[in-house]
This record gives sequence, C-alpha cells and structure tokens, in this order.
Amino acid sequence: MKPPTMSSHSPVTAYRHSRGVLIPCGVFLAIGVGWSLAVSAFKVPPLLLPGPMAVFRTIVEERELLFQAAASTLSEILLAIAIAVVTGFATAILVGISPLVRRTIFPYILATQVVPKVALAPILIAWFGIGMESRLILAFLISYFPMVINTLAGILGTSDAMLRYAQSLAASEWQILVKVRLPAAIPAILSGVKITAGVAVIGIVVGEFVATDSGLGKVIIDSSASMDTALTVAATLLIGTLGLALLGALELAERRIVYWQSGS
Amino acid sequence: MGQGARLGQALPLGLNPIREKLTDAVEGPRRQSPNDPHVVIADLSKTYELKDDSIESIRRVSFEVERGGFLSILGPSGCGKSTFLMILAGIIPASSGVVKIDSTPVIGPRRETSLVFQVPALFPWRSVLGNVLFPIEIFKGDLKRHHDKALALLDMTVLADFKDRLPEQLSGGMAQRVSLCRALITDPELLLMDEPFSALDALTRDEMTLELQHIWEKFRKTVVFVTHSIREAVFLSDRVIVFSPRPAVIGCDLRIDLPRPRKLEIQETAEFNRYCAEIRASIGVRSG
Repeated sequence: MKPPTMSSHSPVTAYRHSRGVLIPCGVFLAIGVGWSLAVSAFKVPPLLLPGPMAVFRTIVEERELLFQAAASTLSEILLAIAIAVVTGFATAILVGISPLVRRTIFPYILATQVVPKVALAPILIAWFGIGMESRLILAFLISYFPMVINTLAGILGTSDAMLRYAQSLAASEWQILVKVRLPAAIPAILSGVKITAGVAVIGIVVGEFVATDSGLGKVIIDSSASMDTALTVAATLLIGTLGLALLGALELAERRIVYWQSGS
Repeated sequence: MGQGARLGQALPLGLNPIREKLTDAVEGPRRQSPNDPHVVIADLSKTYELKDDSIESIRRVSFEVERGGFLSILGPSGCGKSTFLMILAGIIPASSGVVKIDSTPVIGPRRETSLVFQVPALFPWRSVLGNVLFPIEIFKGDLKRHHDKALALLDMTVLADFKDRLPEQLSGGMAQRVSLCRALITDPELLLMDEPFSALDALTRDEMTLELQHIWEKFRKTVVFVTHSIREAVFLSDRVIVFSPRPAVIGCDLRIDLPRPRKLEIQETAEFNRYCAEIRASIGVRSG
C-alpha cells in the first residue's frame, strides 16, 4: 500500500505533525514566560514563588537529592499500581462471576469508598510505622477501587448481541469470560489502569507527606520547613512530570493493545 | 462431534431430481429417516411473565419443517417470530409445548444448529478469519483442519481478500457475510436466520438474497428464515408461514412453487406477485 508513505511526505501531514509538536512546546514556553513575567511584574518575593530560572537552577544544583527522591517515589508508585491493578482485577473477576461475592463482599468494598482514605493516614502510620508499607497501603486504598469498578463495568458491559451469539454456541461460562467478556472489556480495563495510576501518584506523595522517610513528598515537606521554596516548587514539578510520563506511557501502551479501536 | 469438514459436499446429487417431483408439503429430500421431518414444533406457546403482567407472545403453534427445505416465517414487528426462532435455537425456553429436532427435544443450544442474527455482532478484536473460526474454538475443534474450510467459505462469499481485516473495516453486507461463514463453518444441519438482511440497504439486500440462495442450493441445509419482507420470503422460500400479530398463531402456510435457481427478475412475474398478494391478504394489509 502506497498511500501512507506518500502522505507522510505530503506538506499537509508534515504541517499536522509539526503542529502536534509545536503547539505543546509553544504552550510550555508561554507558561514559563508568563510565570517569569508575573513574578517580576508583581515583585513576588522568592520565598513565596521563585521565578522559573531560579527553580531550574535549583533542579540542577540539587539534582542528586531530587533524582534519588524521584527514583524512590517512582518505584513506590509503580509498586502501588501493580498491587492495585492485580488485586483490583482479581476482585472484579470474582465479583463478576460469582453472584455470592457480589451480594456478600462487594457492598463492603463499596462502603469503604465513602471513607476519605487520606484521613486514614495517621492510623496507618500508627499501625505500620513511618515507611514504605504505610505509603503503599495508603496508595493501594485509594487506587484499588477505580480498578475494580472499571474492570467490572467492562466485563459486565459486554454487548447483549455478542453474549447471545456465544450462548447460541453453548459456550461455557468460562469460555464466555475468557473469549468474549475479557477481550471486550480491555478498553475499560485499561482506562481503569490509567485512573489507578493517577491516584496511586497521589497516594504515594500524600503518604510521603505523612510517613516522611523518603521520596519527593519528603523533599517538599523538608524544603518548605526550611523555606527553600525553589526546591519545593522543583519537587512539585518533578512529581507532575512523573505523573505525566506515566500516563503518557500508558496511553501509548493502550493504543498498541486496543488495536481494533482506531479512534483518535 | 459431527462437524466433519465436508465443505462442498451437499446432498447426494441423485436426490435433487426426486425432490423436484415431490410437491407434497411434508415430503422432501431425504437423508436419514425418510418419513421424519427435520423439525417438529408441537403446541408451542410462550408467555413472558412480568412483575404484575404477562405478555403472551406465541399461542399454540404447531408445524413441521422438512429436511433441506427453505422455510420463511413472516410477520409484523413484535409478533414473536424472533422469540420463536430463539426457542428453536434453544436459547429461550418455551412456556409450553415442545420443539423436536431429529426427534430429540430441544432443551438448550445444539451444535448442529447455527444461528445468524440481524446484527452480526462480530468480535471487533478478531480478524475476519478469527471470527469465522470462533465456533470451532468454542467446540474445541481442530483449528488447523478448519482453517482451509474457513478460507473456502470466505472465498465462496467473496471475502478471501479480507480474511485478515478487522470487522470495523467491513461494510454491513460484508459483516453479515462473515457471520454467515461462521454459521456454516460448523457444518450445521439447521440454519436459523433472524432477519439477517433487514439492517442492509436495498441493493446489498438483493445481492445477499441471491448469495444466500446460492449457498442454500449448494449445501441444502434446512433453513428457517425469519423476515418481515414478503418479497424476500417469497423469493427465497419453498414455504412461507405467516404469523399473526401477538399472540402469534399461524395465519397462513403457503407453498412457493417457483422454479429454481430464481433470478431477481422473477419478482416481476405475475406468479411471484400472486404469492405476495396472497400473503399480504392473509396479514390483512391492503395494497391501496
């Protein structure tokens, strides 16, 4: 097939491609310039908000501290996501296939959603100490539920037409689950993973605020205590960057996995 | 499992001339038990029980379907003809009465019966070929052995070039052809079709009608075809049964004696239109 190769050389697509890169870069620069201008125009003291150059300088100077903290935060985030995804998926399958589980256990899972889990942080520290366990548990509590709900919505939302067809072949419940419900649920499951990843970032960072023995959250707490606002802002930006990179990676993976949906 | 790969092996040819001589409604081409009809529907009723109401969908319907014949069930929307087909397929239980296929009561879906739905509902993550082979996977059949058979079916329905495509890249007519292929891959004895062409545009519909006639002539499976198009029913069928509005009872049972293979032009003949008029009269639709 020729058309794809031809079109990638055509001026129109070249323009589109460059637009896809140029516009975000432009926005990024504009925010930086706006920030810089605002800080100097309103004479904001650096203690409240340093300019972008000052923050950049801090990132370079404190790169070792920030890199270690980011590595620690990222690994805990990934671990939390893995735990939430695996357990959430398993829960959803159980709830999906067993009416008994749906009646007996699922209501309690739902009930836990009403409790603001960040409020549990002090208790978690009392139980599990200042360390990774507390943070992982907090992140898990926040990120488990979206995974359950999305997966469940996916496997229970299979189109009637597909189910009826599988039924007409006398497919077993297991075959229907593995060959129809699960593949049909993949888009929903992946959006569950994305939400889970997003809130796992929050869970770990909030955990680092409370169980302050490592990570970018600790850097934020420490630097704001010593009024090193540039470092606080730098750590905050890094957390944002980590989260974006994570979601970007998941988005890319999604496009490859859900090959049958050409949307976007 | 009875789903041996016998693509292209229809009835022994010698039987077809005999068939043409027979015009009796119950007799037909014979394969196994000469006097047994393929499907027997006896006193079949279906009532849907709702919370504080019940809807009587089918009322005491009885008839027999001859082996290798093409039977259409015609009726207004919501008359229970789809429900009836689902009962034949063993997907919906009857409220009373019995359906026997090859003298065995239907209590659930059977592998010897294939169902084609109005909406093909292909699996979007599977290629065309993967969709056609799906029933073999479910039946735990030999995929390698059925691979060539699937290709032959796709070839017959002019889909061979599309075997690796995904369903979203297919037109409505192509998708319905794929669903016909996946219904035929299991070598069914009985093909149940639930308004399979009603979602297609008129031209595609004509094309599919001819193709179905061709496939049926080739394989001579028993077909029960549900439709709300009188012309489609007359064109395709040996026999047309008209269901009344709900609760469905048989309003008319008509034998269509038009020569085969039929061409689209047959629809312009007086004979064809006489059949249509007779059916229309039995439904109670005035032409003026």
